[in-house]
Amino acid sequence: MFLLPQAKDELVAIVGVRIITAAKADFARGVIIIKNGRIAEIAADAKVPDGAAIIDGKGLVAMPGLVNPYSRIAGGGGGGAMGSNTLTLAYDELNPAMDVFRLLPRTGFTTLAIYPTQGATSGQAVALKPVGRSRDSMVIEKSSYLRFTMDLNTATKQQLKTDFETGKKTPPPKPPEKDQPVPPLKAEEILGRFMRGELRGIVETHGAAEIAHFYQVWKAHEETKAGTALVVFVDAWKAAALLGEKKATVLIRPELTLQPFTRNRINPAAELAKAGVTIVLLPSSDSLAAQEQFLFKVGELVKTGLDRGVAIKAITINAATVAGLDKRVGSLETGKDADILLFDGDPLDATSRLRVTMINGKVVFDGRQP
Amino acid sequence: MIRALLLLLLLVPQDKPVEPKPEPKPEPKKEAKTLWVALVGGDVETVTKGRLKKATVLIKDGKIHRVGTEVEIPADAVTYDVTGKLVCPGFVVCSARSLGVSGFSSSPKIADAVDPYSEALNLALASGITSAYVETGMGGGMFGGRTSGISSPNAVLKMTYGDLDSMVIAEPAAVQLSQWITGSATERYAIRESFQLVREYLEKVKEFDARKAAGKTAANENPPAAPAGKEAYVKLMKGEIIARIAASRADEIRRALQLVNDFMFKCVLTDVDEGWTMADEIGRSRCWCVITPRRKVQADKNSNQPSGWTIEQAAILKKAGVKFGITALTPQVSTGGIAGRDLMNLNLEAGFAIRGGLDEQAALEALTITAAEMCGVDQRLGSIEAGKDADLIVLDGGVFDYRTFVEKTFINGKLMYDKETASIYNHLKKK
Repeated sequence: MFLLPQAKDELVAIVGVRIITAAKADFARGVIIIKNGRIAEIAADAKVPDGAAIIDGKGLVAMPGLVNPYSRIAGGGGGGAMGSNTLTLAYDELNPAMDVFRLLPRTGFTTLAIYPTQGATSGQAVALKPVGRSRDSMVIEKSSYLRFTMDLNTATKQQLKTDFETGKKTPPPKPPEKDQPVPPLKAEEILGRFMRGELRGIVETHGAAEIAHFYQVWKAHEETKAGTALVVFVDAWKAAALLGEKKATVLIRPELTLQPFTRNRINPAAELAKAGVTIVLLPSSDSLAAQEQFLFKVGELVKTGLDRGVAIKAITINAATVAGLDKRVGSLETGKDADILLFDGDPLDATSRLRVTMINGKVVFDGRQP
Repeated sequence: MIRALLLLLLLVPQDKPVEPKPEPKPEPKKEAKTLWVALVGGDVETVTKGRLKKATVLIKDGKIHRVGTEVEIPADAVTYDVTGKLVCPGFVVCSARSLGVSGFSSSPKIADAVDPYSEALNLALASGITSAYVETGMGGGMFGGRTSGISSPNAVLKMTYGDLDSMVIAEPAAVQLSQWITGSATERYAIRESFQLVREYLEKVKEFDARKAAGKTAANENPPAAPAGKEAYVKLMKGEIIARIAASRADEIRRALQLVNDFMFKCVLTDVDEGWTMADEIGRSRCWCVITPRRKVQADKNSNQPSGWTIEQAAILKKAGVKFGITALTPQVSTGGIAGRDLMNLNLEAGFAIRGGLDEQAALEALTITAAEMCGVDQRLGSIEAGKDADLIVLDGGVFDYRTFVEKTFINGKLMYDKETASIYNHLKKK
């Protein structure tokens, strides 16, 4: 049904489909025109160009491919919060031959950023799409964001302070002399890019206390343009007031938790959203099963109080933004990569099935069980 | 010659009135509005100045401003009617372990490891505790092993849930010297040697200062250099910080007192059980004690001296003029269940001291002003006096009555626990 016929200029049109754009207004019924892997047009009614392969979207719902901005799905964990490893690249440890990349499209995830694990400043994450069998075909950004770890420890706090200060006082590198190659950036220049807002940062915390300690360290840099997001634990709802005041963006697992000393459920993501915090939802873990169950978990959060629109943004455009990828992925808009999911119902509904996963305008999963 | 004179004249500053430079206009500051809070109509237990009937505690920006029966309350004050209730200083725990500190931390500084969102803080607040001397790591004392250095991390923390910046009010608050009891002979020797080095250094400083005052120092003579790495000992011997030594048994107490007497530093003896057998000696050395009145240790049958525990220890120490603080059997707040022996019943731990013959006033002091003194924070905490931090609790009965509940807990004048609205104890009605 969804195997595409050959098309001129790689032209594809999805017609008569309900569209969740995750950016602007949704379309109850619309057309998506894809040209050379990008969205050329998206509208309620658009003329289908001659020669385009047509996908009949009747009864289907299109949404942007899911983005997991903070993943270790390719394995390897551990590492402490000691030291500064700014120059470490997760790219270097990427093994494109891993089977998990072949299986990912059926979960709905079309973009991943894999982070390095070691050190208070751990290094640079790599962003990729699960297409092809080589690093070149997969990687879309070698330096997606800088990853930090917060820990309740004098050494870690001191290291972060030092690195932020270093970044602040390091000027942008001078452009090379004519005809000279661009030298690779030094550690302090990477930190400089981060502090100037040219490279995003994600800080992992492991409890509400660490959020407070991070902001104690960050106080001196609140006026900078640096874009940071915090990976938070389910108890982050306790720090909702603080996070709201700081207009924070958080990455949180889609789990409910218990109010202390009771069995009453709390929806941390909903509490944080209510406090004005921008939400990114992450799968519960790095297992393939957790990626598969992700939308069901998100649905549970919506059922228990998280606004549905907030939830959709939290798994698409917001997730792309924290990894510095929002210019390319995360929403269905003209000019963006054609990473599109087609469901046969509401994507958050347990009864809906993923029928098509499209990456760069190509169908990489056609809904059939392997 | 004349030219030179003229030049000189020119150089002499003229007596002309200098045009006053316009002062740089101060930035229009945001008027920080004074925040008034008043607790009205309750009986106020000041601890240091008796109990005032139907009095008012007026709080200005987190500090106690006035206390008395005829206090004028500003119109914009936030007022709490506490008629028929008892207002006390918040309890200060003189010895606690890891309370309000992340359980996973091995941070050398507690300030970098405190957890402002620890539920233990809410439980402590509901129990009337507003601050605590907290140790982490492998400190001395009943529940710690040997220390690897002389000082395990310690600090005085306020139970300001959700407010990291207000939590740490003193760090370090003490120098942990329990190694003097638990350590090996080499480690004990190192402690004594450190004191000795510092004593010699301080004598040299004294001698140098005297010569300097008399103008007898050489022009290029430097003051004596402090021995490296002995800063804590210098502070101890200057009386700027208090030591802590865990000493339960009489022989341990005796050994601790020996060091105190030799080097004359301020010291808190913790985990004291057989202090009653040598109360006078402790008194003469001016040591404070941390006791747990109901903790039992067996008498040593092989000893020809009095030994073991007695419920009367607190009363005996008091009689000998020894100041003491009281802590719980488990000096923590348990969040995993209901312990019954943790800090949530601190007032009743003191009740056991009263059972053993201690007067109520002394028991109250042990939970407030004396505890603050032992932690070196009695300028700020431990009593209801003008100028002190407004860390207050409102009780619905006597401090040592087993039926009493804490109704409200204030820290820095801010309501931190309210039984009316909090989840802890809210459903329990007074019998």
